[in-house]
Amino acid sequence: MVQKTRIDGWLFDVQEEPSGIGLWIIDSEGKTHKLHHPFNPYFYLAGKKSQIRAALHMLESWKVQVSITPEERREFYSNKAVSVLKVAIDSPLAYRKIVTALTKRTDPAVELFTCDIPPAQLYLIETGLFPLAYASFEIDDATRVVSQHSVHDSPWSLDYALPPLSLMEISMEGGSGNPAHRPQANLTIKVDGAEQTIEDDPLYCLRKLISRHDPNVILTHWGDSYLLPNLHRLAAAEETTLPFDREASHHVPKTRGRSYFTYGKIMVTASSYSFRGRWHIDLENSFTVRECGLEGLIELARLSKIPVQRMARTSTGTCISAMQVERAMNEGYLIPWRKSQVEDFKTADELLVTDKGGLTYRPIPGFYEHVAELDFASMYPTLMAKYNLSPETVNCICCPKASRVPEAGHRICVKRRGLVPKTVEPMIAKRQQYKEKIKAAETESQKEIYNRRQSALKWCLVTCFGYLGYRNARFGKIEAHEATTVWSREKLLQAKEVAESLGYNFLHGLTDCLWVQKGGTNKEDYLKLAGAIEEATEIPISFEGLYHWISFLPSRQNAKVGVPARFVGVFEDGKLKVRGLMARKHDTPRFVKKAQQSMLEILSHTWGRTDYKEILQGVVLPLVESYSEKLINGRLRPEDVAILRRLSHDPLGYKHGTMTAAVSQELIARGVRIMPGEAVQMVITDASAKDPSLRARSLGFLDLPHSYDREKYLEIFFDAIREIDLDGVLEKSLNSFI
Amino acid sequence: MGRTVFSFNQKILALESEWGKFRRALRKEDQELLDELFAYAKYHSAPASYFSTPNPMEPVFMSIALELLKEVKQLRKELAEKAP
Repeated sequence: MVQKTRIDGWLFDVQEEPSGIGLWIIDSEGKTHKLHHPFNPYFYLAGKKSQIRAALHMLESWKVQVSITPEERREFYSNKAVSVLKVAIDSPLAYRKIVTALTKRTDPAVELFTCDIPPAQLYLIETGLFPLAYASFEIDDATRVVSQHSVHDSPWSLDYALPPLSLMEISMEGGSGNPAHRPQANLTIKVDGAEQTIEDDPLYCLRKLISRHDPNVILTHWGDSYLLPNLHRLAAAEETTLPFDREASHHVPKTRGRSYFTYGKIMVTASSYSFRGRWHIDLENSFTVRECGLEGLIELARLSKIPVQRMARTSTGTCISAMQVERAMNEGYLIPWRKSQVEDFKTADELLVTDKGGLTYRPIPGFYEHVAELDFASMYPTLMAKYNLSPETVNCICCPKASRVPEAGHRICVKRRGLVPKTVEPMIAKRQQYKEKIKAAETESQKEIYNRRQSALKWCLVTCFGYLGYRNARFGKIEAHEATTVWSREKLLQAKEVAESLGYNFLHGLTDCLWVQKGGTNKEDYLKLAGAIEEATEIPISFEGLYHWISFLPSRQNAKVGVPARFVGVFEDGKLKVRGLMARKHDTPRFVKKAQQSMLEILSHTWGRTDYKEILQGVVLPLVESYSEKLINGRLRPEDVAILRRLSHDPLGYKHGTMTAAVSQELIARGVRIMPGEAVQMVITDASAKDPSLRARSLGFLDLPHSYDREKYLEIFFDAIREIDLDGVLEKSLNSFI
Repeated sequence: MGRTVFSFNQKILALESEWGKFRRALRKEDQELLDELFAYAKYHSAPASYFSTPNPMEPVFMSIALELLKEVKQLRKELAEKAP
């Protein structure tokens, strides 16, 4: 008689294993359990019988154990039923290799579907489990194999309990910059509120600390790109293993680093090192954690069924894409593999009309009082949901007579609700519910948790629009993307018309928000205005707030031309809103950022033009003087003047002796490997030097005595001061410094 | 993302460089005026983009005319206020 046990707990992590999926469960006492669940990942084959037979022969010749079931599924774009063969493979570990080999070798007429979803994710979709789900598992006592499970949790619940997660944080001493770009230093480890420095034998110390504290989560700074590869090298040299996995294995990084091109910029992703039975999260390699903390990461992992360690390293767009896959699979659709659709043919005139993006006005630069801002909340996702905009519904084959989208003239399916609207609708609703929870929350910490979760959802919703028109997206179609922007322009113009008809002055409009002005108005008037706009546009718009003042800044090239997103303003409650100023830019030296921020903070207490100018003269000017003095006397630290620059080329491929080129070549000479897209921190030493290599130096290797280019930094500092100056109050004094 | 058409802002920049020779031969004080005219066009780039006519010079001229009329009206108003 087999002894069965029941384990209740949270699904902490999943990992692919030779004959199924390994599950890591944490129970309510914080104890970890390792279970095994048999699972055969599968894909679908469609095509002529003879071709499919050939493909199956090929699998047989590779000695792959498969089980085959004929099934009927639906093709995603045409919505037509197709007969397919479901091919299940006995080993999740071999799945990817087999699929890749099959796609390369078989007749191109054989189509593979649902074939590029990672087996662990496929497992979660099949079982209804999800990361951090609370569930019970019935297991065989001897083998720890799961025979039954039930989930007592939903990814859509708003208040979910989480297991106790113990943390450990590892970084390298000597600042927050990339450790690869500075001399090697000691490791610093934070655990249980204590911080310690490891001076020698890091592997031994790490092993001791990890076995003593057994943390569930290891947070690192630059773990993926620097710490882990170096620790691996050290372990190999000492012929030992690293102590991070909760289960012995000889595993190597899953993915390798690469440079890639996106939105006209070259970027780099580090390789990723994930652990078994423990999470490794590199705080410098996770957009989601940086923006929305662990709470946001967990929220997205639960919704998307992407295991936490992978979710941490992927974009929020992948999250939406995974949710679409799950929904489509549950509705019986075949998941298209590589994107075979191309854009429909368009005449030159049609192209002119459709591909324009959102409406972006240019405000008249200047300082304005009593301005209100109104925002369409989650405008693009809302439009997708309202107008059924989805790759399979825009210009579908089933509704040739459907009504057309304005401007572009695309048709929208009237028979089928699209996959994208069905996916975003519940997310918009969930985000709204979190926002209401924030308002009702009693403690600050509770508020913060809800806020991080709603912000993670916001990022997902933002990226889902980009994915709608992205060539490599699984569920994307440029016409659906265009239809969304057409509606967005329509809505913004309607809002403008309503505001103007009620006597408001339209100052500025930016895709989904507008700034209007009218003397003698109060909050009530704007709530009424929002109501009138909502009635006309049929989508929600919120009153963001009334500004005491807002200053739209001119373009750097031309003082008479405004720029869409460069402004600073103060709401009635004293909250600052800053866009496109130097304080917000990542390549501004820290001291300039801090100085501008502190000055804006002071100016946020002003009510309008008159006292703004008084404060500039009386409070800000002395500050400018003291900052300048400090700068001129050389009293700023290298970290304060360091500038972050991203490499746009191969470091040796620069044609001109720019400062970035000089610094990256300096790093190479010091034996640092850098890739295009990576960021380097530099200090400008002599911007006008004839020899380019003297113009700037890498921050990490800057040796004493250093000297920064005072004239150049003064110039940068004054640029920041000019952004907040009004009517030239500070300008005269700036000139006296030079 | 699938942007196959230049934004109107990019079009104005292209037009400006197209007019580069014209500008170069102008006297310095006139060069500044020409820059101001193009700034008028940039100010109306949102309506011009929404309109999307095949010849971008048309909305550029129309924007200039608009802004000049605006200034004439403003001056007229100021004159009328000053008149006894």
